[in-house]
Amino acid sequence: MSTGQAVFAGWMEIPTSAAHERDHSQAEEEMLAALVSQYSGTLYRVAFSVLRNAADAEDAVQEAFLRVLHHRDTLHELRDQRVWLIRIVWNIVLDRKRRAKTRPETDDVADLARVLPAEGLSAEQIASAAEHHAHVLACVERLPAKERQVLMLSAFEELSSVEIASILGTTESSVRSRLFRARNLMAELLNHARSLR
Amino acid sequence: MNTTNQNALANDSVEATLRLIANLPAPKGLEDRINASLRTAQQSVPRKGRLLSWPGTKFRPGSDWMRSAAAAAIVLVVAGGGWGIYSHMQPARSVAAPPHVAASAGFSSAGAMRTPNTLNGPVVTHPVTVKTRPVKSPAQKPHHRVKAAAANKAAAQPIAPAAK
Repeated sequence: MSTGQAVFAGWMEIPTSAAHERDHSQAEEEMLAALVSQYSGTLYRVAFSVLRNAADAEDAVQEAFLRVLHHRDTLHELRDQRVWLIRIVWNIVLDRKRRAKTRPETDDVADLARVLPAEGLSAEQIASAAEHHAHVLACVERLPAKERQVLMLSAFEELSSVEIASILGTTESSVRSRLFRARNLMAELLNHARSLR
Repeated sequence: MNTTNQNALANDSVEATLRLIANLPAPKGLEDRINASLRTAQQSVPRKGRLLSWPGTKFRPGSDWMRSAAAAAIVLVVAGGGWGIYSHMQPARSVAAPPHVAASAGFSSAGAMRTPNTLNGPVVTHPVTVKTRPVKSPAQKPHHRVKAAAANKAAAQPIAPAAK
């Protein structure tokens, strides 16, 4: 190919052939499969931390990947796919949580007892631990929404404060100040509950 | 100090619980279920707009000679447009500057290249005749006044009594 033809090939490319289309869709499928295998676990944990129900969390992850499917043409343009995916699933779970009816606290305890690791613990210890975690999570629920969201996302070690800011659509300094306020409020709530016992 | 310790303990407890949930393992078979649902959805989700493929292999836009022809056509259109504009342009007319004439009557043009044409003033065709009113001689006015004053004086004097 001459130099002139090589230059034209760059800006006059119109990929419409059937073979090219097949290759393109296959590449997209592979990309999606790679995203699923790489990030489905993280997305599930994020979803579970908010919904605290295994089935609901899995549904949320599936919905997130279905949304990704609708935007598959722009996948290669994304700078940080992980943060983008977490942001999608985060919005989905918040939306679901808002619409869901309030469940009794006993359901949360039962779900946690079923899910939390229980190796080498007796049934009583498992129940006690589940009750403690449920109490802590109930206090978390009483926090203001912004502080609660930052506190929950900060528990994910793989997320930096910059990434949390990107997921929540705010600044890093705002994330830090919200986290500080959330910790203080949580300490007050737990100490107050302890003094009442 | 006691409060600080209590706060630290509470925060440790909160972090332990949240980290426990954040590190929960995903259920088995999650990836397979997601992939299956994606495959099902992929068939139903329409792709965004795409160009129809050209019918023949000879006129395929990707072929080399078609690219060259398209490039040549673009060059022709651009060059033709440029020539059209160039050929319709009129050459700029040169403005002839009037010769510098030295002003008479002692005024100079101060080195100006052009001086505006001054308007011609009115031309007098007939001699102007101005009708003037006859001017009264200034000597007559005091004369009248003197006469009037003498008359007034005579009227004001009392009549002299008859001689005894």
